[in-house]
Amino acid sequence: MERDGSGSRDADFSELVFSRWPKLVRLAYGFTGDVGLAEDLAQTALANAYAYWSRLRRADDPDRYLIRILINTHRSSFRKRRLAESLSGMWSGEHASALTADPTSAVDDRGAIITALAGLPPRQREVVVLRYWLDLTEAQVASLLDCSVGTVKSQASRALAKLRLSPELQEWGSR
Amino acid sequence: MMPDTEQQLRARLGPALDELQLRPAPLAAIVRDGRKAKVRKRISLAASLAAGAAVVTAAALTLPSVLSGPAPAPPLSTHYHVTANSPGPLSPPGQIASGKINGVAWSVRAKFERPDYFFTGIGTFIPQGTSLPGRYTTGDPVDGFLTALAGTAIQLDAVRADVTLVRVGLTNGQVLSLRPVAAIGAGNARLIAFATPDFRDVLSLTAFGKQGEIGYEIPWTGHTWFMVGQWLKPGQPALPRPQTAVTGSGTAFGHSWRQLVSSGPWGWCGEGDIDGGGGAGVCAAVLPALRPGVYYQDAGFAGGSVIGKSGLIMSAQVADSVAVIEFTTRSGQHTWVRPRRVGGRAFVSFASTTDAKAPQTVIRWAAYDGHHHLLGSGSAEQAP
Repeated sequence: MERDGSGSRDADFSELVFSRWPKLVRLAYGFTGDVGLAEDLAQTALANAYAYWSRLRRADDPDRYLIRILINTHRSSFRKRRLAESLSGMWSGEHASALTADPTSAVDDRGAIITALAGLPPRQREVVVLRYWLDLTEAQVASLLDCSVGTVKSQASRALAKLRLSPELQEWGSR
Repeated sequence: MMPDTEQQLRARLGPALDELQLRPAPLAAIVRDGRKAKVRKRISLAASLAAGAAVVTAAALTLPSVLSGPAPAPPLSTHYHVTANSPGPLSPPGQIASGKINGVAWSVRAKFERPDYFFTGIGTFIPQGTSLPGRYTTGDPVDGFLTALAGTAIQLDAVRADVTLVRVGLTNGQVLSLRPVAAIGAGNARLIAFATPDFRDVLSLTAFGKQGEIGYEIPWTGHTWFMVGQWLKPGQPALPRPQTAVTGSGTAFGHSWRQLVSSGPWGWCGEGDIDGGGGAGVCAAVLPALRPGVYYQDAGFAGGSVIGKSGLIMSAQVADSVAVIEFTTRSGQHTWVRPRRVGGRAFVSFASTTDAKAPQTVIRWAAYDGHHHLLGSGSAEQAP
C-alpha cells in the first residue's frame, strides 16, 4: 500500500515537474539573468515543493504556491550569488555580453533587457518580472512578495525609472 | 507610470524569457533532493519546537536584561576518509575526477550537451551557467568555478595553464593530489574536482608547477559554499589568522538562526545558518573601519539569510566603544544585544523582516557604552 501511494505521488509530482519546469526556469532567469542559476533555482524550488507535496496538492492555486517557493529560494541565495557573480564576471558581464554579441538584432534586444534588469535591486527585479512578464495584478504581486500594493507600485515605478535611464535601453525615450 | 513604457517593457520582456532555450527538467535529481529536503524539514521542525520552548522559558526569566552570548557552533567531525583519483584510460569521456567518501563513490564529469557543457556530480547535474572558464594563462593558480552541495560538497575549479598539480589539505589530516584535466576542450581551462563531506572540511589548496610549489591559499569555507581567496607565496604566513564568531543567534518566525562572521587571509565573510542547514553568505575583501563618531553601520556582507517566509538576518559593524545595542521593532519591543568581536572588529546580528511594515521589523538601534550612556541611535531599517 505504501509503495502504491508513493508511486502515485511520484507520478503526480513528475507531471507537475514537466509541466511547470519551463515557467519556473524562465521566471528565475528574469530574477537572476543567468540560465544556469535559473535552472538551479527552479530545481531547488521543485525539490522543496516535493517536500511539501501534500500541502501543495491541497492548495487552491498550486502555481502561486510554487512561485512563492521560487521567490523564497531566490531571496535566500541572491546575496551569495551576487558575490559569486561579481567574482566571476558572470553578472551582466560575460553572460550579457554573450547575448549582446549575437549578430541578430532580436538577440541583442533580449540581451539588452536582461542586462538592464540585472542593474535593478533583486526586489525590483522580482516586481518587474511578476508584473510585466507573468502579467499579474499589483495585488497578486503584493501577495506573492508579502508586501503591500503600495510597495509594489513604488518598486515598479522605481524600476521603470531606472530602466528608462539604463544605457542598454536608452532608446526607450525616443520610441 | 507611463502606459507606453509598461507596454514596451512587456513587449521586450516577453521574447527575452519566452524564447529561452531550456534543457529538460532533471526529474530524478529533483525527486532525490526533494526526499532529502523532506527529511531535513522533519528534523528542523523537531529542533525548532524544542528551541522555541527553551526560548520562551528563558525570555520570561531574562528580559529585559541583556541577551546572553550566542550558542557555540557545533563541531564538525574529522572522522571521514576521502579519495580523489584522476581519470585513467578506461574512464568515461569528460571525467574530471572520481573517488569515494567513506566508501561511497563520487565522480564529476563534463558532458557536452549541445550547445553547452553540463557537469555531472554524484548522479546530478551541476548547473553550469553560460560561461566556461576560457584559456587560463594569467591570474591565480586556481580559481573557483562551481560548487555544489548534492549530499556532499563538490568543488570544481579552473586551473592556470602552468599548474601541474594541486594538493588539497583536509581537516582529517589527508592531502588530496589532483592533476588538472582538459575536460572541456583545449581552448578552455583545465579543471580539477574534489568532494568532501562538508565544504568546511577543506583547509588549504597548494598549487605546483614544473619548478615546484607556486603558492597556496587558505579558502573561506561555509556551510553551503566555499570561496577560493587570496593566493600566497610559498612560505608566506597566512595572515590574519582565520577567526570565526557567532555574531547573533536566536529563534524567530518558528526557526532557529545564527549568523557567523569570519576574518582571515580572504578578508571578511559572513554566513547565516537557519535550522542548522546553512543560509546565504557573502564575502568582502576589505571592510572599511568605522569613522570616528560612527557607532553603527550596516555590514551588508554579513547578512541576508531569510528566516521562514519573511524573516531576515541583518548584521552591523559597531564601534569598539559600544557595549550593548538596543533594537526596537515597529511594534515597540526592545532587544539588547552585546557585540561580538572577530578580527579586531565588533559586530551585532539580529532578526528582522523583509517587510518594512511588519510589526516585528527592527526600525531603530541605540548604542550604549559600558556605563549605560547613550552613544548614538538611528534607523535600522533595511534599504528598499
